[in-house]
Amino acid sequence: MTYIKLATDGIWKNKKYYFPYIIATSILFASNYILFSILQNQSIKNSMFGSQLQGLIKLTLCLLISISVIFMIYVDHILSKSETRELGLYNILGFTNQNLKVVITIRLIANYLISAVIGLILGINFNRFSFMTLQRMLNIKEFKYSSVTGATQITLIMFFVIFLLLLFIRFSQLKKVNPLDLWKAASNQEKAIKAPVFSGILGVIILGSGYYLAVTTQPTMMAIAKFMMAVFLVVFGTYLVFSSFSILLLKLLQKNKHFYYQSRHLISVSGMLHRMKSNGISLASICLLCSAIVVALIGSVSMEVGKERIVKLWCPSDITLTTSRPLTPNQKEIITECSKTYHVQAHVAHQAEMTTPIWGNLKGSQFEQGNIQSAKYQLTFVSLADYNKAQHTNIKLNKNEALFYCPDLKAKPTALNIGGQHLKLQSIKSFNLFANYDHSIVQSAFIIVNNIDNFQKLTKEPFIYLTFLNTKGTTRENLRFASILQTKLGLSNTEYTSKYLTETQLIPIFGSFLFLGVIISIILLIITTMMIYYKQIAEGLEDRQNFQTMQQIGLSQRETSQTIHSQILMVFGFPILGAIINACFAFPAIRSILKLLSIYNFTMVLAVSSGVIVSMIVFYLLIYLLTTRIYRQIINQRIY
Amino acid sequence: MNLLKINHLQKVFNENQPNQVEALKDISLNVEKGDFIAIMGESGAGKSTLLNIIATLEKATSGQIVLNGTDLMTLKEKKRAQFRREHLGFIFQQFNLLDTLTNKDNIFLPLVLSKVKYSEMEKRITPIAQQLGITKLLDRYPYEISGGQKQRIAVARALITNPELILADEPTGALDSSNSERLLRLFQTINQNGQTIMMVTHSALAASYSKKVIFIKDGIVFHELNHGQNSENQFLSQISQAALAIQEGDYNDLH
Repeated sequence: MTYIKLATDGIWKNKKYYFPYIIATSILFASNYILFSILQNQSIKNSMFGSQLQGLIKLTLCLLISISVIFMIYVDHILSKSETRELGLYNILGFTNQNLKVVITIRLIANYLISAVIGLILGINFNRFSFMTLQRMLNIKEFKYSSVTGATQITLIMFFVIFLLLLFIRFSQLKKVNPLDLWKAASNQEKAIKAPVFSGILGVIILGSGYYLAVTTQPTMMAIAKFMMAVFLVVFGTYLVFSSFSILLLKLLQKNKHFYYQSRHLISVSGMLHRMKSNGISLASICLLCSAIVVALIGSVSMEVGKERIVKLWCPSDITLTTSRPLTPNQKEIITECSKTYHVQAHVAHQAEMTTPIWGNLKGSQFEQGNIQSAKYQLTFVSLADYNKAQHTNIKLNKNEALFYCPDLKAKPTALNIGGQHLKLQSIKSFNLFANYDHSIVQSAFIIVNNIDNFQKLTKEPFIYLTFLNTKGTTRENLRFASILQTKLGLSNTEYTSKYLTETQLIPIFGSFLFLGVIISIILLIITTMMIYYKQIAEGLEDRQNFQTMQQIGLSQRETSQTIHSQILMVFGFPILGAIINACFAFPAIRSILKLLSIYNFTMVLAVSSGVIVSMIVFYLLIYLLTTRIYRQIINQRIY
Repeated sequence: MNLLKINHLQKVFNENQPNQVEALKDISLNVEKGDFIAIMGESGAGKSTLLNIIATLEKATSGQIVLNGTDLMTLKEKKRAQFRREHLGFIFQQFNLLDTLTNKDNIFLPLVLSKVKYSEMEKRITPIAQQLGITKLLDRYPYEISGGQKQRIAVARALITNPELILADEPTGALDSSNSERLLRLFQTINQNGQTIMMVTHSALAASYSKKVIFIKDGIVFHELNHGQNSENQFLSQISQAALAIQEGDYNDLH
């Protein structure tokens, strides 16, 4: 009984530390539970994109579980630090290590049970909500909500294992210390640190090469692999830079006597320097968390916003046929018949003959043919006759003159050398036959010339014939018509593209990206908030004695809060600044990856990114203001 | 010359509440420039409250307290911190040095708060460090030196502003006997150079180094002893007897 009382009293007395921890753990519990139950939902598993969606969720779960473990270890470390004094006292009063272990175990079990109960309540309530959100986002009606007992069990067991890990860490800490150390652990006796010049330089080099990779990432097949490499370098580099460069900077500030010996700077610079070793890592973590939130949101929101454009790009008309021969009368007959049966008025909007796309890169006016791995552009040649028919124009071109269309290329070339031929280019503003009909990841460019036979030789592939069909009717009729027509015409998926069918396929994929992107961002935001909160508490406890001594000597309340503000602003300015820099460097890479998904619109991605970054800064300032209040309260708490 | 004048000082905690406590009832005393005064009394006698009021850390309920022409009763909240760092020096039982600063920067701290130039700070520290024998400790950190050394750093921090009055709260409380003696001799030397010191202490031995001992009990000045021409041992035994008498309530011997 005494044990239980001691254990629970301790939690209650330290509720300022325990309360947010339990809330955060509950939210992590709930998020894990929700993802597990979506993963196990039979109707999702059996749906058309079940396996892809499950793969995505599994990836998210891996991320979430590792975040949960890291976060819980971090906070538990701070909690155990705040309890050392208390445990030291018990030890001196005659508690053996064994007795202390019982107290710690009861505390952790209490933590586990409380967070599991709250987490389950949250999870079950929000599970339905998030399920419906997912269903709406994916626009799939066949999903059926069912409560899954398996998810409860897995989540309970998983968190139990994490708590066992925490218990193990606490026990191993207990073993190392004797009662006298337990007493002293609360006072901060870190040795003064030397500036690690080497790791600072190494950090800058690694971070720089990460940035270089990100900036130079081209929208090719290699982009994702390159981006992953860049992320790895940036993570590593950020840690190194924060933990060493910040010390270097502070040491420099300290050497500048005029700067250092001012009441504000003296306290904050020496304080930061004093705890920079541990500080650097937590600041770097906050910085990376913010960067991750920004990148995840930019990616998923851009995809969601760009979704319609992709559909339009991939499916320029309601039904697009890409055949190796012009439509036969028989095929035309089938279309007419079929459209009557399904009450869909179908008519042929355009027809054109084109070369198959030529892969390559544009260097000045030179087009270098290349392979699919390294290509950034695909050129397609269309005859002037087809162009005039499609645009209802009557343009004439001289020999070696050509029209050029590539809407997302900013600097339009005026000349082109390809396969030994020189073309004078004139850019056009609209092109009704524009399509990325093969869903290629590179940008499509179209060139309109008098005679396309010469250019067909470059690909050694036969011509392709595009037929754009437009249909009228309800979505339901259109869907049925589109799938039946494909069977009747006997065309493969590469030859036959239906806008309605593509939409039903794409929306779930993009929806789940957005869904998971938002879930990850929310969880990362919560973790970031908690990390900042606990950092403020931990530092407030460390700084309290110092501030109170200075107040006795002659630091006024006003000067105290000024000092606190400038100190915290400096400390928390670093991570958000770092995150913004990271995001700026990540921007070209994100754009390249989005280009792979046919999102070329620069202004849109820029607008989304700025929006995300600005909201992130606002949110961060809010956390900063809220947690600074807690810091001030701690500083002004009398100790005696 | 009169430095500190206290008249009918009263301090009541939790006024007009059921748990009202009258820490100081009626304290009157004068401190002359160049005095070295020890304030003695049992726990709860009110001596720390008195010190806190002189230090402007707390405000008296009623009475008069004037330090070198400044009326502390009417001193505005905003001016208090400035007043402390310009006119007072502090020495604490637990030294209260900042572990994040080197010893030198700890000594500079009150000057930094008063926005004194770095060159001026350097000029001031040299003679003080020599006098206290701490020159070699200046570039180290407080957690790297012993308790006696820490207290000498704290003395240097108190002295560097040339305060009118040094307030010491149980300065030997955390020191062993030889370090205590060394510190008290240091106080005597500083005092002989003209520095006024007020020291709160439990220890009769510590008090015997002062020029005058004031006994406080139940919130009033109960008794005073002057060092005068007595030897230190004589003074010590006088103090001990008085302390014992006050503790046992045997007041008749004192008057």
